[in-house]
Order: sequence, then C-alpha cells, then structure tokens
Amino acid sequence: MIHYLLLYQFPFLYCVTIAMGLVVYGSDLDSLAGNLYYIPLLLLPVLHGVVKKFYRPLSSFAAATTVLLLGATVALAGYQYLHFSYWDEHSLVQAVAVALLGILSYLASVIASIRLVAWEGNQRRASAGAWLVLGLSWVPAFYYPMWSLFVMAVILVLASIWHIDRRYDVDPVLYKKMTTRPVKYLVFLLMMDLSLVIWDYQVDTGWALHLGGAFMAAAVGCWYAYDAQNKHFRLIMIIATLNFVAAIIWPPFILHFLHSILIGLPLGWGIGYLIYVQGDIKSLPVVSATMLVFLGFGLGYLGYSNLVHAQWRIVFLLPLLVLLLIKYSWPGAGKLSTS
Amino acid sequence: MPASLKTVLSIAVVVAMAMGVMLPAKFDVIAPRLGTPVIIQPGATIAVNIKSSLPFWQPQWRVSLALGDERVPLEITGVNWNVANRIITATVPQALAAGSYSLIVSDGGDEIIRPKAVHVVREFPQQVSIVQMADLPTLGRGDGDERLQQIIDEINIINPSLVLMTGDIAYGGTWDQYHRLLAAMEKINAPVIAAPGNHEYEGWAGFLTLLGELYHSVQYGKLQVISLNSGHGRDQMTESQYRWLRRELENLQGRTPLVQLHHPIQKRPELRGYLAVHAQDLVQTFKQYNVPIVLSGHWHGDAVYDDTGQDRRDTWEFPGAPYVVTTTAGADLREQYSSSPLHHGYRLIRLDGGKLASYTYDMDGDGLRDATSSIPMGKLRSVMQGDTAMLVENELHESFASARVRIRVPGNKMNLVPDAGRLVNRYRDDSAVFYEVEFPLAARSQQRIQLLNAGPSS
Repeated sequence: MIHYLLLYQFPFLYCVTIAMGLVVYGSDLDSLAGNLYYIPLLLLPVLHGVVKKFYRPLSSFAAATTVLLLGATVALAGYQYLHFSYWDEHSLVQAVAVALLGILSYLASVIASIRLVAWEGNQRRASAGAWLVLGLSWVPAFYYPMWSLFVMAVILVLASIWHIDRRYDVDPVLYKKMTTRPVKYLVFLLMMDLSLVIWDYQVDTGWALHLGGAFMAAAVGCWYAYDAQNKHFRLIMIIATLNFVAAIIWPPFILHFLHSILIGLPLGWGIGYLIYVQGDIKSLPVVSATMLVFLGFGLGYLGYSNLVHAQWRIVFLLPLLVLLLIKYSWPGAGKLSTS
Repeated sequence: MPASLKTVLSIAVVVAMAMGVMLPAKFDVIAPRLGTPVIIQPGATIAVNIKSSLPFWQPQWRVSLALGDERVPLEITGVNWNVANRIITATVPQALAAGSYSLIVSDGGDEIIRPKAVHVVREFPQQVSIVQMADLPTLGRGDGDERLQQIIDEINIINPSLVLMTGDIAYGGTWDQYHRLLAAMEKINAPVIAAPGNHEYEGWAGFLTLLGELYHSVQYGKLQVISLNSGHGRDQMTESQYRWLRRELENLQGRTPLVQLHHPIQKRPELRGYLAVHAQDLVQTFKQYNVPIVLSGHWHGDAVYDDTGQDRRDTWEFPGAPYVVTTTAGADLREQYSSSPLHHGYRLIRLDGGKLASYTYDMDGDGLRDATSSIPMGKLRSVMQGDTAMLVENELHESFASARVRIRVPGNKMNLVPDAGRLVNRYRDDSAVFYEVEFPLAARSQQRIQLLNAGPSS
C-alpha cells in the first residue's frame, strides 16, 4: 500500500494542496515567493522529459532514499510554516520549501511507479487501501487546511523505512494498444467538479470533508476498476455525467456529500484504470494523471469563477460526449487484460 | 531490518515529526478585530475566537481590554471548541467606561493585541446613524492617503454610531496597502465593519491575514449588520455563504438586519455566475426577513433600486427596502449607472427604532432629499484656531445632532472646559491633552469650540 500512497501523494496531496492554496488563499504574483508556488508544476513536462531518461538510476537505493528523506524534510519545513498560517506570507523560505517539495514529491511518485511495475503484491487491495488512507488523511484538513503536507512527510518517511531496502528489477508491462482518452477526460472533468466544492467553501474548511469523502469513495471505484476493468465503463460514465448535470441544475447539490461521493467513485475507477490497465512505465502514467488532476482543478476553478452564467458549465461535458462518440465501440470487452 | 524494529521506528519518527511541527504551541486571535468588532454594553459577555496550533492545548488564557495605558482584565467564563478554533467567553466589567478598546489575549507568555476590536457603549441609542463608504482611494499612490484621511476626518466630525466599508477597501490589494488601510481604520472613532469587494482578491492572502473574515455578522444593540462577500471569483457568491446567510437571518431574535455587499444585486444583466443564480433568492430572503436597506458600492456612482428591480430616480421614499449603491469614496468616478451628479463621497443612513429614516442627501439644498444622492466629500472640515479653539465648518445641507471634535492642547492643561457643546472625553499623552467635545451642528453653519479655564489644574 505504501507504494500506492507514494504514487498518489503527488497528484492527490501535493497538487490538490497547491491548487487549493492558490485558489483559496491566493498568492502575490508580484513577488518571487508568490510565483514559486506554481512554477514547479508548470515545469513538470520539462522535468518529466529529464526523468524519462534517468528513471532507472532513480530506482537505486541511494537515489530513492535521498529523494524520500529530503522530501519528508522539506514537507515538514513547509508545513511548519503553513499549518498555522495563510498561504502566501511573502516568505521565500516557505515558498522554496513548497516548490522543492513539488519536485521531490514528483520524483517519489516516479520511484513508486517504477517499483509498482515489478511489485507482486495484491495491487487491488493496496490501491484501494491507499485511496482509503488518502481520504481519511484529508479529514483533519478541516482543522488544519495544510495538513496534507504533513501527511506527505509521513508517507515519504514511512516509504523510506518500509520499502527502501527492497530492490526491484524494472520490468515494464506490455504497452496496451488502446485509447484512454475518454477516461482521461473523465478524470479531468471529475477534478473540475471537485474543485467547485473548494471554490465554494474557500476558507471555510468544510471542503476537507468533501475531499476526504470523495477519496474514500474512490477506494470503492478503484476496487472495481481492478476487478472488472472496463465492465463498468458505461455505468461510471453515467454516474459522472448525471452528477455533473445535477450540480448545474440544482446548485446546492455541490455541498451535498452525495455529490462528492459520486465524484469519488468514477475518479477512483478512472485513476485505477489509467494506472493499472495503462501501466506502461515508459509513459509514466503518474505524470498524465497528475496533469489531469492539476489542470482539472485549476481550470475548473478558473472556469467556475469566470463563467457569466453558471449553467455554461454544461459545455465541459461536450468533449466527453465527442470522445465517446468517436470511440463508440471502445472499450472492447475482454481485450484489455493486464497480463 | 526486522518488521518489529521498523514498526517501532515508524511510530517514533511520526511522533517526533508531529511534535516538531506543532511545538512550540502558538495561537492567533481571529475575532474580534478591526473590521469585525464587537459592540457591547458594560457587563456583557464577548466571545473571542482563537486559532491554536496544537489541539487540546489548554494554557492559562488571559483576556483584557486596553484604552491608552489602562488595562482592564476580563473574567473568563468559558473556553469551548468551535471546529479548529477556541472560543473564549469573557465578561466585561459593569463599571467599564465607554470607549474603543484594544483586545489583548495572552497564553501566559505571548500576547496578541487587536486594536479597536471591542467597543463599549453605555447604551444603544434609539436613533442610529451609519456612515457607509465603498471603493476607497488607492493607498500609497497619488493623493490616495490624503483623500482617505480627509474622509476619516469628516466621518469623525459626523460621529456616527457605525462605519461600514462595503468592499474594494484596498484597491491594489498589496500588503502595504492593507497596512496603510488598517492604520487609517484605527483613526476612525466609531466601530468599523468591513466587507470585501472584488479588488480584495488581488491581495487575498493579505485580506485574510490582516482582516480575517470573508462574511460576518456584527450586532449593534437591536441591529444586526450582515456583511457578505460578493467578490468571490468573478463577482460572485457561493452556496455555502448563502446557507450561512439564511442561518443568520433565522437567528435574528428580534434584531433588525442591515446588509452590505459590494456588488449591487438589482441590476440583473450585470450579475455573474452564482450571484446571478442567487440574486432573486437574496431579494426574496431580504424581503422575508424585513431587511430595511441593502448597501452596495462597486459602480462608483450613486443609484437606488427597489425590491422589484426598478431604478428609483423619482423618490427616495417607496415601499420595500431600497437597494442602495453608493458612489466611490476616492477611486475613479464612472458615469455608467449613476443617477446623481458624480462626486466622491459616502452615505449617511439614519434609523429610528430599527426603521429606516433616511439614506439620501439633499444635494441642491431645496429642502427635499434627492432620490439617490450620497454626501459629497470635502464640505465638512475642522480647523484649529490657536492652541485651544477649533472651528468646524459645515457646508452640507445636512445637520448633525451630535457632531464631535477632538482638540489637542499642547502641554499638560487638564482643567479646560468647552464654551459650547459637551465634554465627552479627556485624556493625555506625553506631549498634549486631548479634549473630545460633542455638539449639535446645523446645516450650512459654522461652530467654534473654545476651551476655557475651569479652575485649578488637576
């Protein structure tokens, strides 16, 4: 499970925290410190290009230990500043700590993805368990909004204690020739929808319970993604679409816990599908998953904030419908085994 | 490494990490503070909202009020949890003099001071006057600071019961501007209640850190001033805020609710997103709870709408609550929606027994209040004449029953009395004695206050 926690901590702890910090508390873009919070994420594709060339050495004992322990230290340093404060307080040390954590957290996710390829444990249980822990770990953010940074530090330290002495030979699974575009867009759309809860609550940390609920529900979605793979595809799409439309028709629905749970179910399914079924290490699905999460959150927030008429959110459904129409016959049942 | 050793090591490391980030324990005072003060009578209880870094931390809390060098410790009657925060309830002594006090909270070591957070009044008046302003001058740029000082001087002469700042209060949103704003707010004698506008989002972290609350409710006797945040996102409101508003209105317990929000909500095509979704609901809700007036800014010009959405340029007296848009207090003027001559200014709202008595100004001096006008700036001033006299000039077509001036007399003369009006306060600092005098100030008049020797110095 620690592998999956390590894998998920970048998109679902770090990126969500950054997105939440930027949108809820803002940052002073006229200052260097204010800009440092998001720059590592903008540079992620560049970092990804570099890491793709050196991902094997990253799996070595020395590199992995360094990344994990340095990441834990920086996460603690960042949290020490932020657990009691608002986001951007013009502190360069704080901003550098958070930015550096972004890079280290990403590398930790890459290390986890490399190791997961060769890991022979119960992937389904581990992945669903990781979602559950992730969901539970968001709940204390109700009291301390930046708590997620502390959780990241704990994950990185525990990973270094429990799994750092194991070695794995990298053995990428066979690349599956299939399209995951509808699933990717689904993840993007769900994160957009989830960002609306944060957008609404803002400094009222009620959003923490919604995030926790959504991620705990993701454990259930993930469980079924591993089991039946594409069997629930249509059901998942229907749940996600109805949830999205319901929030548009009846705006108070975004504060209803059912809304978060119905986001979590397809989210866990979609991410599980992307990572497990599309488990090609050379494509490092963690990056695409992360970008979907961050872009979904960021664009969702910007979209909701700037829409003249809230009902126009329905437009975001169109690309999903187009993708589904194009791939109408996708996915062919039985053709997507992971063996 | 054996699993048992790993388990022990994991627990030890996680505990050490938790202690490392949470200790030493710290705290911060969220409310009351400038912008969200409490206004009470002696003997009342105040609730101090505290955020602490360590859950279950129970230091020896101490709460006191300070006016000048004098400190009054408050009796703590309870410490409760409210989400992550502590709510300390403390009782203000019966004998406490009226005034604007700083709140001081201590955990036995550190001390946090919130200037002018607690206002003590002997009794809440039947007739309440409120100055409302929005879209303040840009501080730290051009003559912005001087303009704001001018408004504050005028407000202090008017001596209202409350001052409302309805958004866009720190136009550029920089931290420097917030610090300048807070320094200026401290100079206002009356309690100041502030709501955010869209420009606050340019420096949102600064607003949250220095002013604290997005939307809030402040009680003033039988009045309840509800401040909303309509600057959210692209000039919007939210479901959670709407839910909070409903709760506040349901718990009025007989108080009259006044509402301020930066964006006018009665010109529908202007509204966006969730503010547009909620506009009709808001109007219905305000109607249901008999809100007598809804105050806004944002347009940089005066306008008034009724609750059906009609632009009321004909009369200021009509059934239902007026939805009032007040001109800018210092930012650029705009002609787009204004139904009054464009001017910088502020609005004076008078209530009598919770009923709206007036909210517009007689601009042309014909004895009739305009339909929409606010009070223009620059027509009310005070000038020192020598060391012990002050001349107050009122060019407005508006009289003030209890105008107030503060006369600074250099030296140590404590035995002076005014030749007109009533001495309401007297205190000194290292170099001077300050006399606060209250007096009626008629429309278009001058009043000279001379301080005279009353007897032997004390």
